[in-house]
Amino acid sequence: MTAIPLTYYLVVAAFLLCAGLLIVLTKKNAIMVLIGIELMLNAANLNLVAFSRNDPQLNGQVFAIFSVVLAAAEVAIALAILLNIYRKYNSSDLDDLNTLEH
Amino acid sequence: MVLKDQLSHIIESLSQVGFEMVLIGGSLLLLLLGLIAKRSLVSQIVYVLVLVLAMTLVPLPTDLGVWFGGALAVQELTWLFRLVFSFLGVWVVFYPTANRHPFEYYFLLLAVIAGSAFMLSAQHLLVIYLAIELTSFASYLLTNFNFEKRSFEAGIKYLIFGGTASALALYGASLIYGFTGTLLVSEMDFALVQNPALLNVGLLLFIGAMLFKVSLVPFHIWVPTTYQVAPTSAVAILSVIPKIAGFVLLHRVLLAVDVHTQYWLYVVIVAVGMATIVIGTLGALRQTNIKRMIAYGAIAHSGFLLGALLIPGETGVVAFAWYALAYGIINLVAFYMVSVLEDRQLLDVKDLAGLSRTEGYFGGLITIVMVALIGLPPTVGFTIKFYLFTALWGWYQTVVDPWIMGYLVVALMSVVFSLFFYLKVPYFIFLKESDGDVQSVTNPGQRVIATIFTLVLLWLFISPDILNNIADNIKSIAW
Amino acid sequence: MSNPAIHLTLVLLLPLAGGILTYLSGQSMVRRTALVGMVPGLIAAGMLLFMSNDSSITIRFDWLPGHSLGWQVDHVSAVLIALVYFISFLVHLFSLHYLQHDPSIHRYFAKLGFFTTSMLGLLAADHLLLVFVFWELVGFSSYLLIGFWFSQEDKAKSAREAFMVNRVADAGLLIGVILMVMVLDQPFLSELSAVSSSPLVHLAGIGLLIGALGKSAQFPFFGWLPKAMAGPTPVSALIHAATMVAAGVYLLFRVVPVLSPLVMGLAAILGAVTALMAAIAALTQHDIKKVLAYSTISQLGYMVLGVGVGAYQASLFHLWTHAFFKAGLFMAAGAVIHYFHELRHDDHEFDGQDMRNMGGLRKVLPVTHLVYLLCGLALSGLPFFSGFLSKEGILSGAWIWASQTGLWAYVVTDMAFITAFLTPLYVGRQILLVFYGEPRTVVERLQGMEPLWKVKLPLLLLAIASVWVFSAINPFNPTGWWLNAYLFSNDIFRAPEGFDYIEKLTFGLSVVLSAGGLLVSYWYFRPSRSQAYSNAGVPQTWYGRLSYRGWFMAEVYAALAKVYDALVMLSAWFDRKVIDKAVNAVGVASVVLSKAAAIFDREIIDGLVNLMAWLANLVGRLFTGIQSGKVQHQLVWMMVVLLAILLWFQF
Repeated sequence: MTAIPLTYYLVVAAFLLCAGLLIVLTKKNAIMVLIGIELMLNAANLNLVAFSRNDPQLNGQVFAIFSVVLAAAEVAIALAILLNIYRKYNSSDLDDLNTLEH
Repeated sequence: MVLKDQLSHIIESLSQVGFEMVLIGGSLLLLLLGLIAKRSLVSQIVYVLVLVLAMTLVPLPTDLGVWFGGALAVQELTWLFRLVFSFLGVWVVFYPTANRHPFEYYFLLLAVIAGSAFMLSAQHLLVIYLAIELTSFASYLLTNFNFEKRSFEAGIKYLIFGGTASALALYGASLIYGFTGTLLVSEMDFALVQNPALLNVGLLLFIGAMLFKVSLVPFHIWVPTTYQVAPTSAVAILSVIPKIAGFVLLHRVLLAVDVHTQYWLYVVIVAVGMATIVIGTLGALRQTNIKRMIAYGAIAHSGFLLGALLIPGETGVVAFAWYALAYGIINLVAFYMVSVLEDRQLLDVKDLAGLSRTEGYFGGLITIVMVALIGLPPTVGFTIKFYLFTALWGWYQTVVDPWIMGYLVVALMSVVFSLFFYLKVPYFIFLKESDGDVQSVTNPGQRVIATIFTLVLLWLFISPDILNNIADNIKSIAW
Repeated sequence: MSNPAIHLTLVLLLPLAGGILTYLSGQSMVRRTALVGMVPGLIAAGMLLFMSNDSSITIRFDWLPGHSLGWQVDHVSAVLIALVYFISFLVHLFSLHYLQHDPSIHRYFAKLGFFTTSMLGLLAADHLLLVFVFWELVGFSSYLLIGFWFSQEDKAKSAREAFMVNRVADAGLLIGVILMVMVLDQPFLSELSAVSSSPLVHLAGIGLLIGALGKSAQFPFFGWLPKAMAGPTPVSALIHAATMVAAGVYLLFRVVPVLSPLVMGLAAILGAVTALMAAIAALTQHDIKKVLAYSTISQLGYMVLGVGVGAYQASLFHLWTHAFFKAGLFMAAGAVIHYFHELRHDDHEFDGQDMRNMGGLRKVLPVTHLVYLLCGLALSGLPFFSGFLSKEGILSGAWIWASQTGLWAYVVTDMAFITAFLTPLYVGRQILLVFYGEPRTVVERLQGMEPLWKVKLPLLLLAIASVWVFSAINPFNPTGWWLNAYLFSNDIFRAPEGFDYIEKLTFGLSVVLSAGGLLVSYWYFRPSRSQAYSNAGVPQTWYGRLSYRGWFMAEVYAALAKVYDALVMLSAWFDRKVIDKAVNAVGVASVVLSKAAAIFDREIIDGLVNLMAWLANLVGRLFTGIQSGKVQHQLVWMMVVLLAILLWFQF
């Protein structure tokens, strides 16, 4: 089995990043925005793992594992805050959070 | 290396991070104590004890070096700011902000300080990322700690903004890793890369994470809202400790990239600094909420700090260290005053009208703090701005770079403009008459603390020996 | 610290220490404690003269690495420190009498001590930053003194106005100081050296000049000095006649080496213009203190003119003589005002400063009358008085300068000579209206109006000092000041070869002008005519009003403030109309963006147009620092900047 060329990984990762960014920028639901951030993080993870093919110490893969854990922690925090927001605002729509607009 | 050598190296390295270990261990202890103790005084005492213990474990400045296989570089600035962080961190226990969940609150503050301490020495991409995220996560949570409707709103906005910035930074880090083949900043050689366009993109995105931490344009937008709603004692920490740490980290990364040979990056940094000063100053002009105003002022101060990093060699590092230290002290004092006012719901400058009738003394202290924030004599704010401008001017004369001249002009203009908004506070306190009754704001204890705080600002102006000693200790760093 | 350093510290801090002691010991102890700091201070200042005799006292200390601050007391500083001490001491004495019934007199003495210390620090400071610090302290302490009766709304307002006008000028000084310290690298007054002409040197000189003009109440800043008359009269004698207003002249005198010819010329012109304008304004005032205020401005104009034409030694001489006779005039005016306050203290409508209510006071206040006469003659520049000698030097200096500069410069000289005619005119008018003729209100002799120690002694000391022998032995030799050798090692401004005739002409002309001015004033205000003056109103002609209202300076300042207000309103309008709209437009545009993702292929053109509008708005927001609270707008903003940076360095 021949290895998949590195370029493929890079293109997929770049696509994931752009998709994630677009979701973050356009979706109104906070949960969807979080999903967008996850996509962006995973784009980076994919890059790291792909690049670590050329690294005998596999540092990139270790990095990716750490970043997955961090992403989980981030989501935990975000959901905790969102729970409170849902209680106070009865909505998880970012456009409804407008008490601080200046 | 065989496993035995590796293990002994790790154990040897552990002695160098006693400061960070105590902070993390102490923060966990605080969390556990929260299960059995109920009084907030306990949490404050433990918090202070942890910081003091950590301070005693800071290794001597003679004991510097690279540890954990290069992942942590303990340098002169690391040594200095570890001490400064633990010292500054102690003071927030005097703030009058009332808190629910005090144990969790101080746990998060210690986490912020620990993350910042790691940023001071990290030079491995993974450690850098972990340190930044540790600080960020704790900051997201601290923003919510007033438990009001708008706290949560600011919290989620801060998190989304920060999360996106850090996701982009991670992507940038992956590109850097791919092109240089290493995660160690010290081993990267950017000159080797043939076609650096994509690498430069990665570099820019990665530096973005630091710009986010130190609130530089275009990553500054979270600052005013977050500072406005977060508990004031947390803001005092957030506006000082992660910011300084972020600058030290940025300094190290720029050093590794060799910013003076990468002219485009150099120009980007200068432009970012100028834009930050302009936006921070102009933004502050129309604020009437004191906390928001100081937040915009803090953005402008970030631009000044970035200026210090642009100067190569010893002068730049000394100017940076001074500015950072004095800025930290001034900001702590300023937010103390704000927290006292906030305790009485006096956050809009209009509410301060006629306050001099009952609080002439406290109003005078606030005036001194505002003068320090502007950077006029006789306060330490003047000393550091004066030194920074002299250093910048000296360097301009050696390189004659129009960007530096522009930077100087913008910085000087900003000082002039900052007169208008900072002096608004004493103007309302002393010169405006109020319509209704003016009640007194401070109690004697608060006046004593405020006096001590303010005297420090004046004392450092008159006798900058401490600053000079610091300068002696960090002279060995070269750009 | 070395011996001189300790001594200097004592000299500087004794007035403040005495003031604090007076304040702490309270109102009842004031008579005993008021002079506690001043008497030893006066002795110490005298010793300072001897200590600095052989060589200047120079003290330097490190401040920042590469920067040191310092003090220096040379002959000029030592003499001026002694002068400030002397006048301040007399004012302390006189204030004990003038404010004897004021319940917060102890606060007054604390402020007076604070002011004296600030003024002394200014004279002893060598580093320009220290000069600036004490300059500000002097301004602040004088604000405290002017606003001493702060419970009266108009007086507090006057103090604030005087303070604010000074701040505007201080901005100029700050620019000058920063340029001098950081760019020209000449931070020490004692080590200034001539520098080659460049725009920066001009700018630094103009900055320093503006600062000096502000403090010395020169055009266009002179509006604050008449306002400052709201303070107690002894304060006016100390601050607004002898010491603080002279600080500007002192600064100019110090920085002469770095002033470019352009700046010197400006100083000469502005000084002469001020001298003339203020003299005209003094002609029509009804308030006894306002006449003196405008005459002070006018005399300071002479001093600035003197520096500008290069006769700065004569300026310093005039500063010296003016300090004595003007302090004497103010204190004598204070005695008159105090007399009316005692006489009519139950009548609150009565204005004890209005000359229309005076006349014939020589019978009830004989000593005050004598002092006023002597000091007034000195001010009008009559021979055998000190003012003649010092003014003479400035006038001939101005003439010589004009003869070397060009035809236009004669305008400056002419203005100075016209002023020399107007000065005796308003002095004579005031003396005649206040002390001669029949009383225009009921007056009677009161007991204890001129006590020996607190009134007679200071007044007579100052009056005697206005006689020529205390300045120079020869009453007709303007370069014969006995301090010349000590201050300038006899290196003084003299007429060059072939210009001797100018000195002689000036001499003759000023005798004629001063005598003529006095005669004209006698013709108009002789006792038989002055009776009608009690009904005099505000002048109605346009020139009369111009003079009476002090060239409408207060109105000019108010108009400037209005312009500023209008600018603020304009920017607020801009904010509301343009920027808020732009913010809304961004909100709209980002909706368009999300839709554009779906309908991109259908409406490419539309999308592009919107994109451009959206980009333009973003740039607008970039420079206004405004942010909407929507986190996604912020993110869009961030991404655009990042992309801009990427595009910028890649292409």
